Amino acid sequence: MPAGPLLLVSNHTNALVDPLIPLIALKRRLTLTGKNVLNKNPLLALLNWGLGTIPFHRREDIGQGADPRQNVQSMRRCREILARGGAVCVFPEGISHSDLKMRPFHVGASRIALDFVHKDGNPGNLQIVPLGLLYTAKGEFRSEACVRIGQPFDAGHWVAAHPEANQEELTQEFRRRIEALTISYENRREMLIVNWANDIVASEAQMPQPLGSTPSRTMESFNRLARLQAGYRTLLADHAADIAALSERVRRYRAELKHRGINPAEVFLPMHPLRAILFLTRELELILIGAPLAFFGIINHLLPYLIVRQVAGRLSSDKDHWATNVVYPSLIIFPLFYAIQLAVAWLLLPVMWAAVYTIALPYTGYYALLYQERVGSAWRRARTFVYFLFRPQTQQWLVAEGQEILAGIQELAGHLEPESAAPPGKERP
Amino acid sequence: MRLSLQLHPADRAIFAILALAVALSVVAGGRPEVRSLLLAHLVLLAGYGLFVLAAVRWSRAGWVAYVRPLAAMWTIFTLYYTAGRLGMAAMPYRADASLARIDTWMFAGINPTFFIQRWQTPARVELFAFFYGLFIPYVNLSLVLGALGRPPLERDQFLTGWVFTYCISYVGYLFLPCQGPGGFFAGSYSVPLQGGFFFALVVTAVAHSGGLIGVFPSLHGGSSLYLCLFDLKTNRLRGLTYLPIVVMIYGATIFLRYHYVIDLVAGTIIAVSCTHWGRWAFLRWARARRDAGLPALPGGEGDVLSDIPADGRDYTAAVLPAN
Repeated sequence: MPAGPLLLVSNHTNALVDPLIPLIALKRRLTLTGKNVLNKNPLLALLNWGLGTIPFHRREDIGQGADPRQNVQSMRRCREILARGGAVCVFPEGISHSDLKMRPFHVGASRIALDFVHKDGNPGNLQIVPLGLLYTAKGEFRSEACVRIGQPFDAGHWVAAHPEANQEELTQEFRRRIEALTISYENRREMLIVNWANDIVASEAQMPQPLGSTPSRTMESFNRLARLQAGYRTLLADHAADIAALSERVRRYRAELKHRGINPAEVFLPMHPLRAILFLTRELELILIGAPLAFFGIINHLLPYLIVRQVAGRLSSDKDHWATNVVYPSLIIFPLFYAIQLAVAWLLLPVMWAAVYTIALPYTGYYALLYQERVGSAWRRARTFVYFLFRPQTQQWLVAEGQEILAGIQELAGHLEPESAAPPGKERP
Repeated sequence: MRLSLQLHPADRAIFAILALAVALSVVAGGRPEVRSLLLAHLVLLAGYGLFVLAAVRWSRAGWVAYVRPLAAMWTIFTLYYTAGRLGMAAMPYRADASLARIDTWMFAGINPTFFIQRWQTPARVELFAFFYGLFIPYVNLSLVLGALGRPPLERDQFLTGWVFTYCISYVGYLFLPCQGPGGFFAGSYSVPLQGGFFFALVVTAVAHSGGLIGVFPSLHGGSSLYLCLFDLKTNRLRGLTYLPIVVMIYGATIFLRYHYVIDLVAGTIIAVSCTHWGRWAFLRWARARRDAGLPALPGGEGDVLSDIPADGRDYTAAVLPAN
């Protein structure tokens, strides 16, 4: 992150979780911006006050207490922060959504930048950094998030190079740069085909990694997805028939896997008895030895977990807000339950056991989450193994088909210029 | 071909500690026990040397990748007994008094081995003996699963760090022989250790593995911590599963009077250092081999390594097939 005044512009797909990502991932103090109607909720108002969030009034909220005239004041506050060398984060779409592509951008962010350059004299030399926020499955608990950080660009240089440019043109510049960091789809078909193909390519037609030892490959997956999508779009023009045929093959393969409940990566599961024994030893060791820790963690966290789930279920009308409605209530409900349990523990138990309980509570809570996921993965892999054990021909067919699809994708990729599909920007998972 | 590109870093560490043991035996020769240990170390050196020769000769054969961890484990565990015995036999001094003084200094004039006597009830002794005994299955299971079940690049980093942990610790066994507080202060305790089945099992196992030898640094602490730290980086659930057990093993070594606190401190420093140093040494070697056109990993694996991480973050870079 560059030092000095910094304007971060980002896409917006996961409501109030989006601002948390740059806040945590970037090693700079950030001032966030948000719609003023959020402050109707007293808890969010308190949080916004604590974070120093600058409210913006949207026209679509006029009936609900928004007064767009006050945006002048909000923009002035943003510029004051920038003038002090601070960093401001803006979501130019102005609304969180689950659309296949980004929504139209509001001009507020570019107005802040242009006014800072023209009216304030660009003290400290404003840098603008586009961000791409990506989620693996934003509606699912424990899914992953990535932030792709674009190349910073100098606002002063940009204005000098585009002396006639207005705020709409700078807004379009933001959009182009953010689009290069995110993954937008033309239509649902493109989204599905590209994502399915990504799953097949990710398997590399190789034996799956041992459970638990696979590091997070989320950023790698998004990069591959971006390359696949770029290739798909490029080839649609000249190789439409090949693309259509391969897409249909990918669709049928995916349907076969779904019908059988098999993960694409596990098609290539080796059926060697020694590997099966090794797998069983590894998994049973963990499941048996970890059971007491996991059980303790589940018992102590089940009630707040269920309450948060209920709250999130009731508050969420769409998947854009589900994560928000999980994260924010959790910030209150879990500490509350911890406080109650620890108070009881310190009142009733000897000091040493109370101290052990205090350490064990968060430890086993986290442990129980990992344990549950691992047991689920082990069960799915074991199920796939048994399925293939009794249907070796099905596995052979799936392996052959997977390899042929992979070869087909690689053959089509051979028609591309090497650099055409490279995703731009610097990334940080 | 340069010898350094052929010799796996783990093999080099094993050769170094064996050579040191042989040299010490030669210098301190004379006593019959030292002579027999010299012979034992020469046999170990020759045996491991033969394995390494075979591994270099058939460096692309699949068995090398699996036999190396087994050969290293066997040699290292044999050295646990022989290095400890050699230190006791060859050195005219014992380090117990110095280590006990350091412990007393660290705890502001209180020696922890006496201070904890008030809590040494038979039930607690039994509890800690259970955890002390868990060390053996934990280490062996971790090594077997680590040698067979990890992805290739990760497996060799794991092995290298583990071998380094032991080899560095054996230097302490050779040059700072001691019995531990249980032996050194045997007549000074006011509370005798009494337990049940697990305590008896531990006492018998210690007697069968050479008695009160190999104290500084604590490999019960160092080795179990190394395994746990490596798991926390590569297989977090397993690391978290064993972390409480490792904490209890640490406590047990003090509670059962097998180690001074300074032994644990030294073991911890060695384990933490080797977690980084082992993987650094291995990756450096693998990169050098790859750059020289050799298979980056012995055993025919990694003829084409998609990526050998340079910055130390990714433990499990995928290995692509040779064709």
